Formats: sequence, structure tokens, C-alpha cells
Amino acid sequence: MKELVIKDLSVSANGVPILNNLNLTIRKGECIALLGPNGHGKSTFLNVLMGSPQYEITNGTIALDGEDLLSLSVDERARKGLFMAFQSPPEVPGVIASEFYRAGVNARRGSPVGAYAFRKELNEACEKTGLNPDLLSRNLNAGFSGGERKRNEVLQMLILNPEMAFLDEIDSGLDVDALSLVAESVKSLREKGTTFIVISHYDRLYKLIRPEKTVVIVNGTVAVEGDGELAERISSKGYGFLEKEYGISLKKITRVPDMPGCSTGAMNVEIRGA
Amino acid sequence: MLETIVRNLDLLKGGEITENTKIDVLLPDTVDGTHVIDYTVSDCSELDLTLFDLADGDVDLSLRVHMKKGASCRVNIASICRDGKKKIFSVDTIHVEGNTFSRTKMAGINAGEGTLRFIGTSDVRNGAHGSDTRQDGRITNLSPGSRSEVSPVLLIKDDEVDASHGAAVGAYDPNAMYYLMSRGLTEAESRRLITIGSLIPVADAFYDDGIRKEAMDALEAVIL
Repeated sequence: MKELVIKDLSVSANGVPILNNLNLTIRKGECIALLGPNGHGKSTFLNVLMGSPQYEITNGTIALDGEDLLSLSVDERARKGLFMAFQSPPEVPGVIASEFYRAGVNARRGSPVGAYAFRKELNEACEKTGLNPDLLSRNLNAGFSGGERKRNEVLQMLILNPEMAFLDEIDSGLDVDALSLVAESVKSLREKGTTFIVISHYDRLYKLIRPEKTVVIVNGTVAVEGDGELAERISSKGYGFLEKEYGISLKKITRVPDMPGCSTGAMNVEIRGA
Repeated sequence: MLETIVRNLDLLKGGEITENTKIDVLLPDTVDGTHVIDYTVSDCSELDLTLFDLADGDVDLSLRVHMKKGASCRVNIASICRDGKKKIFSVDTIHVEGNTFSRTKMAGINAGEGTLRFIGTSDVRNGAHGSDTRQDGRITNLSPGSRSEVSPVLLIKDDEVDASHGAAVGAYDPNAMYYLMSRGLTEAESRRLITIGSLIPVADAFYDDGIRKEAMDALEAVIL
């Protein structure tokens, strides 16, 4: 993967606009801090990149090295190397975690991985994430604590070795030690060339992984792009800082009916001087 | 401990359970008919009954378990209903005396335009204080024409009773599908995993390893 180009992207959910003419270019190896107030479209953006069927693309294009990403299904995107660490990974009863991971690795690599080689990789990933290997004999995410679910997402990221990874609040629910392990995992993949887009509301993760770029989504569109330090400035000063510094007006968000946790600030977009 | 394997509903006779008993029921490929089976579980005895139904036929099973003082029962049922078939499973756990315990779990796949019904009643009678009962039922519909019903009923006639139920009927969980596909599994593979996965907890309840393997192999063959 060399670049992902998003042009004039507009997205709705249940008829309510969420993203509005969003433009962004992501280049291989970049680590991007994705910020924005609650309900302004950050998670929606990542889910649209991953191909979530919950959203309707009303305008725009997304091209992965020139190929139309929007024409690909979720699994096709995954097999091309896109990975999403979910904010709230679901429980899937009856699906044994380790067996599912092996199926994912086989799909990603396009050929079956041997049982011994896979077990070795899995154990190494458990060690890196501090996850108890016994958990992987359980049903997928069933009975996992919040922290274990997040570590489990990172573990899958390590064994799938993605080209591009989207981390949606991977640090929520993690203690300091777990956060360091997550940061180490991100760094190890960055050394291999993985591109990252990372959503977090706190700068403690950003301080550890040192993103070189910050993108701020406000009112459903990219309002500001800056260097890595911008994320730390926003974390310390709050989003009111955007209004003073960039003249960006934050609009009141609108909840999307029947989609818990999904809201939009894309109505009546007004961006001044961004 | 009495352990019994049954492969024909006609051989499931019911009766009085006077010592701890485990019964594994794996229905054959074809089965038809109406069956009414009554058990009475004596004081402080236990009955564990697991039934796995992949049969290509109509089934109407009514299972009633009467529990005396301190008795317990666990009933696990898994069923796949194929196109045009009608399957009804009714499980009544009747808490006749105090400190009795029951768990009923029913999981099903309605694969076509058939009828699949899970009906359960927890009947906690006067004098059954201190009892504990729970029913869970879930049916996954694979077709818009699937007719499915999960109906758990709680009849509580005494105090100090723990009683609860859970019921769900619907298509595949879209969040689970999205999650599995986001790891590179195709839609068909993801559906297959979820389908098998919804019935595996019932197969896990078999006490006999051979029957468990046979049930899982048969399930995979049906789903494939």
C-alpha cells in the first residue's frame, strides 16, 4: 500500500448526514492522530474505511493505490491489509477465539498456516500484549474484561500484520502497563511499515507512539491538519482552542436514530478559516 | 451416576429419577411424531438431559420435569429446522418442592421456510420456596420466510425464588458479522462460524465425548 486518497466523502446513517465532503490523503508508514469532539464523525470515518455496512456513502471516493476501495467488501479490504481495532469488540458465542484468529491469518496470507507455527506466533503475541493464552480457548470475547478485549484487539493486529491499522480508542479501559504494551506493539509494526490512524481522547497514548501527523475532524469534515504536536496541544487546551486559533465553530451534535453511540455534527457545517 | 445415550425418541421413556442421571440424546437423520415425556426427580437428585436434533423431519416434543425437594435439572436442546419442516420443543420445569434448581437452554437454526418453536415454562409451585430457575432460548433465522418463536413463561407461586429468562429470535447479529469479516473471513465463512457457534454450547453439554464429536461432525455436515 502506498497511499489512501479520500475525496469529497459524504456519509449518512439512517438518513442522517455524518461526514460531509471529507478530504484526506494518507501515505504509507504515516502514523496519524485522529482527533475531534465526541460525535463529530471520527469512528464513523474509520468504520467507513473498513467497510461497515451501517453507513451509506452519499458522495465521494476512496482510492487505495488507485483502486476503488468502496467497491470492496469488508473481508476483501481485510485481505488487502486493512485492520480495525474495535472500540467495543462484540462477543461471538461458540466461536473459539484461537480458531477464529487462525482462520483470519489464513485469509490474510492466502494460504493455511501450520498448527505449530501458528501456536508459536500466538504465544509470542500473547507475551507482547500481556494476554493470558488460556483466554484464547474461550468463546470470542466472551467473559473478557474491557482491558482484555482491547489487548485482544492488539493481539489480532500483531498476528495479522496489517498494511494499515485503525485503532478506535484502543487505550480506553487500559491501565498504564497495558498502555505501554499497546504502544510497543504499535511501534514494532510501524518499524515494519504499517500505517496507523489512531483515535484517542487522551494524549498519554500519543506521547508513547509519537504520531507525526494530527488530523482533526469537526462537524463531519477534516477541519485541521497539523504535525504530531497539535494532538498534544488539543489534549492540553481542549477543543475551544480550535475556535480561538483556527476560527472553527463546533456545531451541536445530532443523534442518529437507532444507532447507539452514533451522532453527527455534520448538520449546518460552518468552518471558518480552517 | 447413571449415564444413558439415546438415539430414538421412542426410547426416551421418562419416569422417576432416584439418583443423579445424565442422558444424551442424538436424534437420527429422520424422525417424526409427537412425544410427551415426564420425569420426576426425587429429593436431592439431579437430571442432566442434552438433546441434539439435526433430523430432517417434523418433531413435536413435550418434556416435563417435576422436581422434589432439593432436586435439580438441566435441559439443553439444539435443533436445526430445515425448509418446510415443523419442530416444536416444549420444556416445563415444575418446581414442586423447595430449594429446587433448573436451567433450560434451547438454541436453534431455522434454515428455511419452516416452523421452529421453543416453548418453556418454569412452574414454581406453592411450597417451592428457595428455588432457582432460568430459561434461555435463541433462534437464528436464515430465511425471511422462517417462522420462529421463543416463548419462555415464568409461573411463580411462592416467595424467595430466583427466576429469569432470556429470549431472542432474529437473523445474524450484524455486529458479529462485521467483526468476523473485518478479519478477512468471507460472508459465507462468517455465517457458517456463527451458525455452528450458536449450537456448539449445547453439544458441549454432552457428557459422552463420542456423542459430542458425532454431533459436531453432523452439524458441520449439515451446515456445509
